[in-house]
Amino acid sequence: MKSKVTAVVVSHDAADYLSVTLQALSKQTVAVDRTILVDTSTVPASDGTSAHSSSGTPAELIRLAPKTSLPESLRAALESVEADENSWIWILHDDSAPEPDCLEQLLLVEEKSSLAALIGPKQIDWQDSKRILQQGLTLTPLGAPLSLVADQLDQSQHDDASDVMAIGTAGALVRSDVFKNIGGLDHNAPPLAADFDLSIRVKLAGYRVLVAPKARIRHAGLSLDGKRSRAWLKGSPKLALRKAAIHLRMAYQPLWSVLLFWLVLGPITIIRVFWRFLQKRPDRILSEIGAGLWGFFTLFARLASRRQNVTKSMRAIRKAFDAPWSRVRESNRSRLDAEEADDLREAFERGDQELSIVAKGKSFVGAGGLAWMLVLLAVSWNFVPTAAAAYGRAILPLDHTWLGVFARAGSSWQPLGRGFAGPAEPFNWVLLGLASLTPWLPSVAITVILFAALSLAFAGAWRAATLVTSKTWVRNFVALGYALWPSLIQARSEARLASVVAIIALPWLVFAVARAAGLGRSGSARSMRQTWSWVGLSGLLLAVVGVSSEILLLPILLAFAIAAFTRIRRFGYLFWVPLPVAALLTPLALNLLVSNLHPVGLLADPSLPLASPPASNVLDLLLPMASPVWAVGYLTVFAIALFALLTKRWVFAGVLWLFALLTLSLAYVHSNIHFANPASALSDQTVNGSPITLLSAVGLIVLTLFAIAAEHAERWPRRILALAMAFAVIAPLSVQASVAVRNFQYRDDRVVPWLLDASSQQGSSLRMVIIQPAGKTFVAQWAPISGLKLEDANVAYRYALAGLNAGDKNYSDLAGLVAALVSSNGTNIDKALSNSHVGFVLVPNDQTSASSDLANSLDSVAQLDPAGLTDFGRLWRVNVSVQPGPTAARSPWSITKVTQIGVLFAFLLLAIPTSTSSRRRAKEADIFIDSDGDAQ
Amino acid sequence: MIAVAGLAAGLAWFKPSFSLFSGAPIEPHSITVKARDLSLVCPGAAFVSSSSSKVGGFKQTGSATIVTHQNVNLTTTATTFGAAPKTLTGADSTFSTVKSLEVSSMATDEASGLLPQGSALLTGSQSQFLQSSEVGGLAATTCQRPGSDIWLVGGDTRTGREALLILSNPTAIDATVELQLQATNGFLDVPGLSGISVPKHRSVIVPITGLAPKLETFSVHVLARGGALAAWLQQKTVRGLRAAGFDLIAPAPPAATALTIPGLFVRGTSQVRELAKTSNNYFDVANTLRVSNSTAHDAHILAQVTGTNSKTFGTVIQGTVPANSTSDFEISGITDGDYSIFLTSDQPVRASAKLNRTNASAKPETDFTWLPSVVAEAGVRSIAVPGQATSKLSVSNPGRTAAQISVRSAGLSSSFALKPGSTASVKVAAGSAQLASDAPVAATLIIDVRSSVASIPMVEYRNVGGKISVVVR
Repeated sequence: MKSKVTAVVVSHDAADYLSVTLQALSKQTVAVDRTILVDTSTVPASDGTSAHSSSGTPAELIRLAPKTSLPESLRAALESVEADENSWIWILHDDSAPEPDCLEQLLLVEEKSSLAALIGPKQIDWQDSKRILQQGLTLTPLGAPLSLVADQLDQSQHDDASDVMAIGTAGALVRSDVFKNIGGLDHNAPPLAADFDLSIRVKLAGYRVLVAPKARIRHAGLSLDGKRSRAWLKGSPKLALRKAAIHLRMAYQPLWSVLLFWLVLGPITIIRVFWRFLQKRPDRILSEIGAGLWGFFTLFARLASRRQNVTKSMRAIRKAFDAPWSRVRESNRSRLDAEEADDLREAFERGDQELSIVAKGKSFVGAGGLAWMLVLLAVSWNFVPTAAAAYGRAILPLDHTWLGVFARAGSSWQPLGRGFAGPAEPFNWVLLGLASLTPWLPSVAITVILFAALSLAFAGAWRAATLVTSKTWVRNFVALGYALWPSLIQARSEARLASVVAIIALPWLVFAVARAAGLGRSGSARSMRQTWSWVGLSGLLLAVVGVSSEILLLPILLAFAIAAFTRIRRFGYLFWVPLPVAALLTPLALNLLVSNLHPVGLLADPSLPLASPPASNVLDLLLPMASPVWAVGYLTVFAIALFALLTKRWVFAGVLWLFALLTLSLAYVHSNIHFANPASALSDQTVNGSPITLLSAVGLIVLTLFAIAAEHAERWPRRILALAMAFAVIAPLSVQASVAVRNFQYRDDRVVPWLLDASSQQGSSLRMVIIQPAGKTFVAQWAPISGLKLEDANVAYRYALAGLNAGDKNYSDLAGLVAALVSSNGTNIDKALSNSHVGFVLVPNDQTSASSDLANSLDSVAQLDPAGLTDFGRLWRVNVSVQPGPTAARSPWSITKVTQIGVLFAFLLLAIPTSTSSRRRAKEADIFIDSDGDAQ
Repeated sequence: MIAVAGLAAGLAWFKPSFSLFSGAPIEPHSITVKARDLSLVCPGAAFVSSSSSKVGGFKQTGSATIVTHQNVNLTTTATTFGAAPKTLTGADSTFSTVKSLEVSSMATDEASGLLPQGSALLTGSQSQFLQSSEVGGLAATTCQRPGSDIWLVGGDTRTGREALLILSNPTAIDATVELQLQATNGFLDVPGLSGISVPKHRSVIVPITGLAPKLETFSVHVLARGGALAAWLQQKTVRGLRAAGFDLIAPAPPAATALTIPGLFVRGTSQVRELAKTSNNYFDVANTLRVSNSTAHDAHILAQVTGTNSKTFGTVIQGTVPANSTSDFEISGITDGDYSIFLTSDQPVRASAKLNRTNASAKPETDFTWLPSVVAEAGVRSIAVPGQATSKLSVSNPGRTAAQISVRSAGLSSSFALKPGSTASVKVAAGSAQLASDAPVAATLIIDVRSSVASIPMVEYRNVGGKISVVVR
C-alpha cells in the first residue's frame, strides 16, 4: 500500500530560509500528500498560504505564539493527521531544504524495512553541499550527545550506514502512529535532547531508527549556530547541548545512578568548569554552570521524563550504539582541527601568520642562552646558598612546611598580635608558588631564586628581546643588560625578594602579553586555544608581578590598556588577563580603602619593606643604583637608546621613550611616598617606596630601544653600537655584579629559638612577646611562639596597628603587661599573662646596654624563668598557668582563599598547553629543520 | 630625538620637592610604673687560698671599704651576706665589710618609686689596699647590679698570676651558672665550666687559674639561670716571692662598634724599661688593650690612644680580632701622661685596657688595673669616691660635638669644655663626685694609694620606672 506523507514545516523567524525550504519541498520527485506549515515567528514574514506542496496543494498554515516549543508545534500540526502505519510525517525545519530526491530516498529505505519508524536523511551544509553536517546521532560513554559524522567532506564514505541510535528531527520521516503512540516529542526535554529522546523511545517501542545516506537535506543549523533568538533554545547552543546531556542521563540511567548524579552534579559542574579551562574553552564555562544549576533545580521535571522498566532495554541500546572512546577522541580531534584551520585562515587573512624559522632567528639554546645563564651563575658566586634559608632585614625564612605557607596564602585571619582578622599579603601566593618548588623545605626555594636571579632574568629578557629583533647578538646584549641592571643587583644584594621576583617575571609577562595580543616579531598565537593559553600565562604572570610590586602594576596596566585597544580584535581575550591580579589584590584594596581609609597603602612595597635612599631628583634615583665608578657606563645605554629615534620605527621608539620617562617619574614619586611601617624607627614609623622595580622596567624599555636601534641601523653604525654596548655598558655592569656584596646571611629556617620552635611544632598555641627597648619606649611584638616568618609580613596589619593600639583593649592590656614586665616591680601579672596567652618573653640580642638592663629586669620577674641566651636573644619562660591561644582561628580556609584558588587554578589550567597544541608543534618540528643561520 | 633628549635631561635635573605620607603612626601607650628597688652588690674583701695545702678552698683577707652615694630622700639598707641589714641614711656613707654585701635602695618618702634612677639614686664603690706577701696592691670596683649575662674582659693565668671568678648571689633563689672562656683561638673546651651552683645569699669562687692555667689572653662569659648574680674577676700577680699587683675586673658593658676606655694614666715608663731588663718576672708590665669579639665575623679594630695635652701625643692601634675570640694588643710608644682609648670596630666588640703602674721605691713596686670600657652618657651622674686615696676622674668625649662639663666634689666645682675625641682629668675628693655634661661622655675614677692604682668605672644602673611608653605591634 502506498505510503501517505504529510510534511510538517516548523518555522520560527527565518523567512528567507523558509522560502527556500518550501521551494525545495515543492520540487520533490515524490510529492508529499499534504503540507502543514506551523509558524511561530514573532513577525510572520509572508503569507504562508502562498506556499504549495509538491502536489500543488496549498500548504495549511497554523500560526502559534512565538514562545511555542517544537513539541507543541508538532502536536498542533498533527492533530488533524490520521495515525496509521501507512501515514508518515516528514518533519522539516524552516532552515532545512531537502534535495529533490530526498523524500524518494527516505521512502525507499522505508520500503525495505517494515520495522522502520524513524528515518533520517544525511544533513549537509546549507552553503556547501559537499560537507556533511550530521548523519545520525549517538551518545558518548558519559552520556553526552555526539554526532556520528560531523563537518566531513562527503565522499560517500558513510553511505553504508543504516541503524543508528538517534537522528535529528530536521528532515526526519516518522511513522504517524508510532509518533502518536509514544507521545511525540517530550515537552519536558530540552530542545536538543528531544531528538535523542524521540529516537530512543521509538527504539524502545520496538522499531528501528535508520539513516538514509542517499537522502540529502541542506541544513543551515540556525539553532546550533546561535542565529536564532536565545528563547528558541532557551539559552545559548552550548547551554542547550549541556542541558541535553544532563537530561538524557537523568531520563535513561537507573534511578539510583540518577540520584547519585544529581547529588554530585555540583562538584561535577565545578570539575567540568576547570576542564573547560584546561581545554582553553572558557566560552563554555557559563554554559556548564547554567546547565549544572538547571539540572540541579529541575530534578522533578527530569524524573517526569523517565519511562518505566526501560533500564534493561536502554542498556542494550547503549551497548549497541554508544560511541566508543576512540570515536569520541577522533570526533573531538576533528572538531579541534577544524577550529584551528578556521583560526589559521582568519589569522592569514589578518596578516598574523607566523614568521618563517629563518626570520625568527636562532633558538635560545642555539644562541648560547644556557651558556650565558651559567656565566651569570658564576658571577653570582657570592650568593651560592650555604644553608636552608636566607635571613636579613628584608628576608626571613618561610614556614618549615609547605602547608604552613599554604595556610597564610589568601587567608582572612593572620597570627599577628592577638590574631588579626584581615587579608593576607597577596605576595604570599608567590611565596606559595616558590615553596611549591621545594615543598620539603620551602625556604630553600628562596635561596635558589636569589642565587639564580640574574640567570632567570636573562632568560626572560632574551624571550622579550625576540619581540623586536632577530639578531642573536642583540638579543644576548639586551638580556645581559637586563640581568646585570643595577636595580636587580641591588634588590638581590639586599634580598628584596618581592622586587627580585617582579624583575624576573616582568620580561616573561611582556612576552606572554605580546603573544596573546599578537604584537612583536614572533607573531601572534594562531589558534583560539593557543591564544587562551597565552592569556592564561599572561594572567598568572601579571598576578606575580602585580602582587610583587603593586607600583609596577600602574605602568603595566597603562601599557596593557594601550596594547588591548590597539589590538581591538584581541580585546575579548586580553580583557581577562588582569582577572587573577584583581582577585588577589581586591581583599587588600578593600581593607585599605574601607577599614583603614588609606587607599594609597595599596602601592606600598609588599613583604618586609626596606627604606630606599632619598632622592632629590630622578638622577639621584638612578645613580645610587650603581657605584659612581660604573655610573657612566650604566647611563651610556640611555644615550644609545636615543638612536632608536633615528630608525624607521621612530614612532614606536618615541612611544617607548615617553613611557620610560613616565615610569621614571613614577619611580621618583613613589620614592617620595612614605608608607606606614611600624617596624621602622619610632620617630616616623614609615618607609618610603622602593623605585627598584620601576627602574628595572625602565631598563627593559631602554634596552628594547637599543635593540630597535641595532636592528635597523646600517652596518657600520651597528658595529659602533655593539662596541659601545659591550665595553661601556655590559663590561662595567658585569664587574659591578661580580663584586656585589651579599647583605643577608644564609642560615637554618628558624625564626625563634629551638625551644619555641619545638614547642610550636608540637601544636602549642601559646604566644610570645618580643620586647625591644628604645629609650623610654618599649616596642613589644606579640606573636605566636613559632615566630613571624616571611609569609606573616602584612601590609594591612601595618596600616591597622595604629588603630589597634589606640582602640583595642587587648593591645592596651598587653602594653600594661609589658610595662609591668620591664619594670619588674612585683605587680601580680599572672592574670594578664594568661589572658594574653603569653608563654614566653624574648629580648633580641642587640648588645645594647638598654637590652642588658631589660634582661636584668626580666630576671627579677617572679613569673619568669630564664631559659637561656639563644641565637635570637635572651629567652624567659612564663612559670604560671597561661590560657592557650584560640585554636579555632587557625583554619587556613576562607571564602576569599577559595575564590582566589579557583581563579588561579583556572588560569593555571588555561596556561597549560594542550596536547593538541603540543602535537601540532611536534609535527612542525618534524617538518621544519632548525636554521643555523643568523638572519641579518 | 633632540626633543626626547631634552625631555629626559629636563626630567633628570628637575627637582620637585614633595613628600606624601600614607598611614598614621602608632601612638604609644603611656604608662606610669613604679620602679623596683635598685640593688647593688659589692664583692667584699679579697679572696685568698684558705690553706697552702688545700686546693680549692678560699677565705677572705682584710676588709674592703665601701663608699656609697644615694639620693637624700632614700633610706638604704646594707646587708652583708648572712648578717642583719644595716640602715644607711644621708647622701654619702662609708663602712667596711669582709663578706660580699648588698646595698639596696628603699624609697621612704617616695613610695611610688618614681625617683630618677641611675647613680643619682644610688651608687657604691669598693676599694681595698693590701700589702701582704700573698696579695699586694690596690683593688677597687663599682658595686654592680646583679644580672644573668655578664662578660669579664681581662685576666691572666700564667705562672705567678691568679684569676679568681667571684660570683655573688644576693637573691633569694639559688643560681646555676655556665661559664665560657674565650681565648685567642676561640672558646675553650675545658671541664668544670657548667652546672656551677651559687646558693642564695652566698658567694662562690671559681678559680679560673685552675680551670685554664697558663692562659695569657681570655675573657669570661657568665650565664646564670635562677637567681641573678654579680661577678668580678679578682686578678693578682706575684713576681717571684713578692706580691706585685691586685685588681678586681668589673663586667664589660654590652658589645658595641664604638667603645671608650678613659683613665689610661701612664706613669713610670722609664722604670718599667729598667725593671724589665733586670728580671724575667716583669714580662707583663706593658700596657695592653684586650678586645673580645663574640660575633661570627672577624672584627677589624682601630684604637686611638689620645692624650690630654700636646705632650701626650698618643698612638694608634690597628688589628683584627678573629671571630669568637679574644686578642691582646700592646699599647707601646707612649710617654707618661693621661690618656683615653677610643676604639672603633666593624663588628660589635668588648674591650678593656690593662694599666700598669711601677714605682721601684714603693711596696709593692708594681700594680695594675684593668680599665673597662665605659658607656658615654649625658646628664648629671654621681660616683662614690673612696677615701684615703688620690682620686682623679678621667672624662672622655667620644662624640662629634664638644661637651660642656661640670664636676662637683666636696663643695668644689670645676667647669670646662671638652672637645670631641679628647679627654680630661679632674681631681675629686673623697665622698662623692657629681659629673654634669650636656653631651654623652665616658668617665672612670682612677685612685692611687702609695703608687698602687685602681679604677672605678662610672656606670649607670637604672631600673625602669616612672612614665614609660609601650608600642605593641
